[in-house]
Amino acid sequence: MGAPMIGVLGESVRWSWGLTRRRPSILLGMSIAVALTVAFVGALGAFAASSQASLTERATRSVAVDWQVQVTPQSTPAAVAAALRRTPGVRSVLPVSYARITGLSSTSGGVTRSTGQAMAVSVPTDYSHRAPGEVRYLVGSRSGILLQQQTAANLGVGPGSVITANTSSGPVQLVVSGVVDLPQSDSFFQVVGAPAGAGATAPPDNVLLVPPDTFSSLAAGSTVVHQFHVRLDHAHLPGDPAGAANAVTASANHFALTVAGGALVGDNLAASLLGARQDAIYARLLFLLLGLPGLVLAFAVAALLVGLRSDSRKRESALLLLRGADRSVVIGMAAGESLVVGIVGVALGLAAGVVCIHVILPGTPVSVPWLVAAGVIGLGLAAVAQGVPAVRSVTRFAPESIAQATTRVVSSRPPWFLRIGLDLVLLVGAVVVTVLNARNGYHVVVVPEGVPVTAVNYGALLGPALAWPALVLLTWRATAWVARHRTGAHGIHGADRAPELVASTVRRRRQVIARGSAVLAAAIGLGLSTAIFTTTYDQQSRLDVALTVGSDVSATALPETVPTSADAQVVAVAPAVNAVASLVHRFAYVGPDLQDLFGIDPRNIQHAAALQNAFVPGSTITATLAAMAARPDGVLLSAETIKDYQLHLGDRVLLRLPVGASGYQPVPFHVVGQISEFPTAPKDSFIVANAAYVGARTGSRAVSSYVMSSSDPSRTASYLQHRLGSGWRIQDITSARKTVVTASGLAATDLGALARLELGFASVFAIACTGLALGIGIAERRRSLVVLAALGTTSRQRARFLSAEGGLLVAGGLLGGTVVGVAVGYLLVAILRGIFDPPPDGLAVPWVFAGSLVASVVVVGALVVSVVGRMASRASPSQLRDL
Amino acid sequence: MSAAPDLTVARVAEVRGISVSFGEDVILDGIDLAVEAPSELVVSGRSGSGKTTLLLVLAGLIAPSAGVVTWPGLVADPVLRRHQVAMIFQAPSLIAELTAAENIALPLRLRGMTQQQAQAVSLAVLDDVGLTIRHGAVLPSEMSGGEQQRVAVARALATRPRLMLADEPTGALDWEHARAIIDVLRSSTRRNGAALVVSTHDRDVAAEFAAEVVVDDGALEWVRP
Repeated sequence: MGAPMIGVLGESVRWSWGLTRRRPSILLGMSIAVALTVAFVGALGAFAASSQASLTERATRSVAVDWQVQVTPQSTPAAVAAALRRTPGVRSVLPVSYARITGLSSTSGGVTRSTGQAMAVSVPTDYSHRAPGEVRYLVGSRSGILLQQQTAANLGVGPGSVITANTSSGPVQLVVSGVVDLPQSDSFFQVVGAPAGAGATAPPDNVLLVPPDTFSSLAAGSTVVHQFHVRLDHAHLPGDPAGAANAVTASANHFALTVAGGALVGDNLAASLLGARQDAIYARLLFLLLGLPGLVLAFAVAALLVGLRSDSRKRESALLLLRGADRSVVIGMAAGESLVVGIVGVALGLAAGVVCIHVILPGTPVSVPWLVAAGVIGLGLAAVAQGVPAVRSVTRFAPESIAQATTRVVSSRPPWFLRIGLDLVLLVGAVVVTVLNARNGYHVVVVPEGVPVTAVNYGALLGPALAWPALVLLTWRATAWVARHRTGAHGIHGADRAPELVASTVRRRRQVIARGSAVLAAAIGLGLSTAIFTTTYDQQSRLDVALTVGSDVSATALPETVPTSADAQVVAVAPAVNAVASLVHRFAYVGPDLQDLFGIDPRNIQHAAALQNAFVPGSTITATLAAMAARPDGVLLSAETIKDYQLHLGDRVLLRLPVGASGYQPVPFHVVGQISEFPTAPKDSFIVANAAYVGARTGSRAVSSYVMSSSDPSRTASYLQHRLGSGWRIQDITSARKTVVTASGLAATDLGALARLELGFASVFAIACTGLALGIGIAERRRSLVVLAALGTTSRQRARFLSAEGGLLVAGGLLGGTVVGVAVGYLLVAILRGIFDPPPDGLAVPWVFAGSLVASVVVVGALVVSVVGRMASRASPSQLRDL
Repeated sequence: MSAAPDLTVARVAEVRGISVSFGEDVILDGIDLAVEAPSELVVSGRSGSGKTTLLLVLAGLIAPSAGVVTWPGLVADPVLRRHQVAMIFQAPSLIAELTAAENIALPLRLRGMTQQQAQAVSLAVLDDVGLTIRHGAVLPSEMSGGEQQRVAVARALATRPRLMLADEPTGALDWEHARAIIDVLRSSTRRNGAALVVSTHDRDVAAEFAAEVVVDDGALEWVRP
């Protein structure tokens, strides 16, 4: 019959109070395990909540103009403007008008250059201030007649030059004030109201920006498209990109309704937010793939720590039950103990979690819902980790002697999940899933363009999800196997050694040792896989910036600068430079398409610029550059160009290049390969050719830029800035990493924050697992150690028993953890390829982190074995009397 | 361990004016006792009277709060001296991960005996305490409390100590085995010229010995001779 509830409560309170007074260190130790878990969950949750918000913020920041509202013939500009100003959330409205003119021409030194059709755009004088990012000023004034960079190059003009605009109503003379770049020309010149999925149209080749009064003279007689470039208030947008996109789209639709067909909305903001959906999903996947294993590990560490009490708990339960205590009272005591541990652990954990967020994730706001969830998890962890063993010790108690109960050796029989081969089943499953995913190209996130629906192939996540436990359990099996075959035959034999007896104890404790190895392998695997993933990402994001900059350092001649041999000499002697390559940049027509052409020296470009095999699908960089070097008229084209024009390797193509004063003339090339990425090249199609051949055929060997690999990019850039002067644009990768938005929206800062959190906790868990697994082993053998001391053994002899066990545990954990880390790291990189831009050729090895982790584990292991082992074998008189 | 036993009478252990306290509890107060080899001594008294504490002091496992403990008949080096002292504890105190034979061999191996020699000695002493070779291959958890205690006795006998201290060695045994163990202890120590000190609260066991002291309320009193 159970004891009355009030009695159980009373005993529980008395027991908990007594334990707190007499054994505070044990309760504190268990509370710390709970606190670690609570802190980890709280910090991870804060990251998850804030990363979505930061993706939204980055997506909104990348858009210069949120809406491009085009007036239709059914309305007037004034009416549309009025309607916009009445629309909630609209912050600024800028009138912009477009008109096509026949062309532009310039005459210089008796030579006349002319272009084809050009686009005249009327922008208000404060346009760049109200829509920053849409116009980038390169040289000259910021107002007046501004030519787009390519147009200026085509006409061979700069600030102060006179050009003629050929319009429907006759030629108009204009004085060029400045040269600009339009970084968002795709959206600036979009066809507003095009059907979804229609694809982007190419922006006009020739563009001039003019003030409104000049525009009217240019546009007379032409069809004028009137637009309003609108900036919205972003403060009240939902945190996640998809939600924000829906809100913006709804607002745009509402506006369209109010003007009843009088305007079409080009919703750039919604498009950018929808583009960030993929990154938001990847962020969630990262949280899942990196965060959940950490949570599982936290539970394992807590269970390990609670296991420290298992022997004494068994003894206490046996003592109480033998003396007639009711089972409900004993269970109630355990419940009270777990409540104390839970409350203290949650309090410590919440405080630690807030500190972690401020230190490891600066700028990340605390997420109250996640802190509450962490607290609930902490209480649950304390209840389960303490309650289950306590209930088990009561329900399975048999009335034998207490001494008998505590001399029982831990079973050397493998646990049930190893007996049924669960590790092998999981491993086979992981291999099968990985092979199937590899065949499908690891498409884990499918985000159709223009379609507000995303699909996640969660099956692809099964690979690492199965591999992780499979390899951890395999570590258990392998370590137990090694322990089982220890005989001591290969041990050091000496006068005071007994390697065969040491081996006997290791054999019989093999499951305990293997369990410790498995938990340690899980901790090390978590840290190593995270480190591999983040190091690879860091490597690729650096490469991405290098592609944008050109290399570690680049020096690009501005349009009005004519590079000389003196400039080449300056570059050649720049400090900290490992290799230099010159680039020739031209424009070339492939059929009717104008593409960027980069002339290189294939013999030296590889050393100066960061090139990867991933840039040349189906080949390697070395082979591709060798093909270029072997064929002077060799050319690399993009996949899109090759496909559009049905080209094959070896085909002869005619590209039109600017040849002296003759304008664009056909120049023959032969296709030697395909290229998808190149330093400084745009994301769309481009051409790579031999600079020498291009120079010989066009009569111009002028270098456009130099790219350099450097061991100290900042120092090299500073030198070049000083020596080359203002006629060159100097960029270095160190400064650029802080400002360049990489192609992947999931910026390095997001991953860096998650990595710091994961690596920090993984390191703590690994060290805690080492100390706890060894400490538990020593605690369980305390009685044996006291007996050994009483038998007259030296501390060194006793240490050999402990170090044999500890050494195998640590070695098994390190080896197993390395396998887990590398395998899961490989799978993470493969599955999350969408995050990388460009995708990596291989894994980056985090040597420093790995070395530090291994060293920490070994040092902690040695310390625990020597210090705790020595303490454990120091018998107090009461322990000796109880022997 | 094949040297001829030293049968010379010698004082192997002596306590003078020792007191032992645990916290505020005075366990032993001003005890004087000399143990000579060869000799047999029984220490009797109620449970909790301090018999075990006295034996632990004689073994050098705990230090007294006051007084002096010396071992004039044993080697001076404290580490090597422990090899000349064997103590059998109240509870079997076997290493749970080692078989009976391995438990017996453990102190022999750690003191320099070869594996083959240690194995031979283990089997011999197992026989002395009435256990078989089959018992030698069994773990302590698979033996009864009495069998475990007999293995503990065998482990102590195997080292052929100069001073054998047995704390309630028959507590877990039935009378027949208890008597057999006392006989083995006495014959072995006589053979080796060693001192045997047995603590017990069993009057029948105590009656077997020619010399007896009683520990009561921290004081020691000679009963006989």
